[in-house]
Amino acid sequence: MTGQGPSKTGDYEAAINALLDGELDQAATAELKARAAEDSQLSQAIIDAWQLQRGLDQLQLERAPDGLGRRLRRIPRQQRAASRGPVFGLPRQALVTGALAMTLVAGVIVLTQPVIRSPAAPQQAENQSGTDQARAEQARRDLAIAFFYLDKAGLRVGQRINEALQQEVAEPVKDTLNQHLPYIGLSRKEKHA
Amino acid sequence: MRIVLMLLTALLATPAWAQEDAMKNLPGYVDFGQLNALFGEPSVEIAVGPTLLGLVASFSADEDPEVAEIFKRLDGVRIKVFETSGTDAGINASAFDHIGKISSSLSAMGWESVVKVTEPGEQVRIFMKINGDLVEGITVMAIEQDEAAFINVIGNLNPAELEKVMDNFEIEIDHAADD
Repeated sequence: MTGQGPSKTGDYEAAINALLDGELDQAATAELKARAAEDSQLSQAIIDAWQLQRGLDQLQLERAPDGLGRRLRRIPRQQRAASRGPVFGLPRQALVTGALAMTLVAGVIVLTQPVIRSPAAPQQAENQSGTDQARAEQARRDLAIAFFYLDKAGLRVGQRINEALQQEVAEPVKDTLNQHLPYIGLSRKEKHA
Repeated sequence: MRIVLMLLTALLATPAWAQEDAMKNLPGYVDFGQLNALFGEPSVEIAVGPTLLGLVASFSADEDPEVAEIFKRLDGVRIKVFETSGTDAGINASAFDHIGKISSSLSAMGWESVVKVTEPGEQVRIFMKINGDLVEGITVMAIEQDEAAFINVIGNLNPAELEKVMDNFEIEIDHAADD
């Protein structure tokens, strides 16, 4: 994407996609970055789009179906920093999402630049600790997906128990089942609400 | 960007088959049989074995030592999910038949059936492998209208501990989309 950036809030989808694809030119990137600094919704949109694309790209390697985007929107995201009061007169969440978006924009720019390696340091890009940490992060993402399906199965069982049994009977049955498997009939979100 | 991320993922991801091999001799491991032959290619296939769980535990230790300890006692988490929407009744019947065979096999191996839901076009089976006070494995098989999920959690843990591990992840279930 070249030329001028988007002109109004809500029209940033193409610009965000171009940014993630490395096709947004320097001027438009700078404009997007400036607007994201002022617009928490735009910042969040950039983060969401990046997370979604990243997830899709990862699962593409596992032969993900076309409809996986729907599922991905339902499954794990890192818990965003909740707003805990204003900082310097601004909502904390706006600051956090703004900072994350800035980091993300910078990261995307870095990632899309040609890689130039110094001949003097050919094999020093990653040490073992960094690799292990990355593998652990990947494993955590995989576990989150697995637990999503475990949670979903438990919820489905609970729904069927509710349908088959009267309320007075269904609850004790679910309580008993919960001694064997977590979250029968109640998603974690509901349980902790 | 896409290429960079795919390369990173390819470098970071430990092959599922390698993780599978590391779990096959564990008592809580379940052989789901030839699922791919029945359902086709899985839409999601994950196998996190003891090595990776150990890594997760070590990197979680500072943040949450209690959960890290539980991670250490988890030996594996495996999942295969298949899209079933658009498949004909024959495949569903075969799928239900396959679940029945696995269930029989699990019962014969000492697994306890905890949950059995049978509805038109839907079946859920949950089994546990218990050894004394320890749970050695949990197996969930769920076939619904649009997908079939096969889950196997392996390790010495109890439900409360599994709950703590699951709580360590931020997961949302969209009820409207599921109903």
